[in-house]
Amino acid sequence: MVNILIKIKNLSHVYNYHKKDQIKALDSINLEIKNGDFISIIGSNGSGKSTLAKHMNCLLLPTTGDIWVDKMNTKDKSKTWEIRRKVGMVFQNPDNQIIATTVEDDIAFGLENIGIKTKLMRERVIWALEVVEMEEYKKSEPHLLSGGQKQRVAIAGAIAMHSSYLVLDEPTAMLDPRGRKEVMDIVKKLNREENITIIYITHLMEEAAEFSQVIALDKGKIALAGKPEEVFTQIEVLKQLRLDVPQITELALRLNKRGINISPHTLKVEDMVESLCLYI
Amino acid sequence: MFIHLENLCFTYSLGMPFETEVLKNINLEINKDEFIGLIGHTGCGKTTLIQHFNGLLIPTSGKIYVEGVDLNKKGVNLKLIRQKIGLVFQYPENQLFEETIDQEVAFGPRKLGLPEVKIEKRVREALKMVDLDYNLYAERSPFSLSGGEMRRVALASILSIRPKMLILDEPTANLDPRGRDNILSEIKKIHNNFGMGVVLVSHNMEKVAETVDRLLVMHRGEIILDGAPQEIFEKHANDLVEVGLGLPQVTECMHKLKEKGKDVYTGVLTVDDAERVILKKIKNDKEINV
Repeated sequence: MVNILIKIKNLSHVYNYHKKDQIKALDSINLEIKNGDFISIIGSNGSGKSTLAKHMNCLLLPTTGDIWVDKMNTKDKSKTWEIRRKVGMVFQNPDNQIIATTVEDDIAFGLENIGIKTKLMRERVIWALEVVEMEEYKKSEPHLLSGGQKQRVAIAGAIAMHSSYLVLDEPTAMLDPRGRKEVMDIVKKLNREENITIIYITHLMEEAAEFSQVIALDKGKIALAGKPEEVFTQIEVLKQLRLDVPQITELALRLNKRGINISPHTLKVEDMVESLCLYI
Repeated sequence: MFIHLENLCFTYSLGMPFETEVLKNINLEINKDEFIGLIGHTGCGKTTLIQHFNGLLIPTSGKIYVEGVDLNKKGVNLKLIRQKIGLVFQYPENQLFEETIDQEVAFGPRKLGLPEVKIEKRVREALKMVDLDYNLYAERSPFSLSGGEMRRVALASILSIRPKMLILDEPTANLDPRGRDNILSEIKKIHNNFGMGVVLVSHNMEKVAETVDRLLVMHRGEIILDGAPQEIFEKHANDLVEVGLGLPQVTECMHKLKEKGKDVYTGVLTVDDAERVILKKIKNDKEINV
């Protein structure tokens, strides 16, 4: 298992396993996530995205199959807290995960719980705030922040634990375009500069297109996986999966069909403009 | 005209330390059969504004008229106004509370004191409007539904009151792409088939712009743009970006082409529009060269 840090093998999860109304949320998932990966997971509601995410830090355990985080099996109860420290989580609604009355207290909460010394705790809080570019708000009351700022505080709370992985479950679903950009910029920076492995769940294909790998789930299975330019050009499959196609990719494919020499792998507006300028 | 706002201002916590001026001098006219999108950055005052439309909030200063009735006046029958203007809040599925979908949708008409026969008719009609089969759904619990279905039931509970105008606050928030498209096309159908006026509040520019006929853009408590979506995307793209709303990818693409000196129409909303404009341009260029 050289360099493979999260390994998922034949993972299935069934809700209400001992009851009548069983729901199979994950169905034999196999996946390997490497150090420094920058992955987005897409899929319609009920495809199993959040269920998969919750397996990565022991919030859920497999019904069958296994998942290892840095060689620790999540079923091993003695490792639960070690795994949770390594795998930070950020959820959709920032108001549900902020608990303290000031920004810095909120970030210190996790550190206090694991008994970090005060001096070190201060350093970590300041470091985390600097990374998410919120240092000037450290004394602010969280409820006075914008949605994007609150999500950045939630991210700071997770990385202050020195997690190696960050799992974000639709962190921008409740944010407006500006807030979305703030969060995306920080997530990219964490991956690039702090070498934190990112697993990012989203409904927004424009966001997913910015990651180096995209995994599309459907009915608990991996339906598509690959680089964004490989995944997003499969327009018919994506539509069947009840997903959007980025506008630019759809336009590129249509123009390509009309005999115009534009790569069907075009994902960015800039690239499209450049190609079109050769024609008009 | 159906709703008329005159110099409407609203301040939260007036005279208190946290006094915040949310709406500044809003003048607006809305006709009964319009399909309007109200967009703006979080905190710009969208929700505060629509809460004035049916008298949930009273303006700090200025006037609001619904069908000519001044809502500030003493003795106004607000109950009647709220029958005319149906307001669907954000995450309306949180308001579901009855045991069955039938009872849920019947709640409004029952409170209006209608006879049972009429109530049932209205429930059937409202569920049909949101594409839910009465026979399949009526006796189920609203809590056994998916997020998108719950939202449709919540919408049906407003439709059963038969409002003349429907106001929806972020009706597509947190739905997946299919759920979002379904809700929007149902709203469009309700508008087309029943002539109901609609105001759609959102910060999701892309889908709203291609659905509505008139776009209102709010920024810091003011309406800064008002017009057809094509016109706003063509002439005011910079303003939209400046207030943090962003443009659909295809619109951005056209504006970038224009910046590079290419003579293309920039008021595009959809991939269809963009394809048409580009193909036409290529064809024209060829003809000129020949």
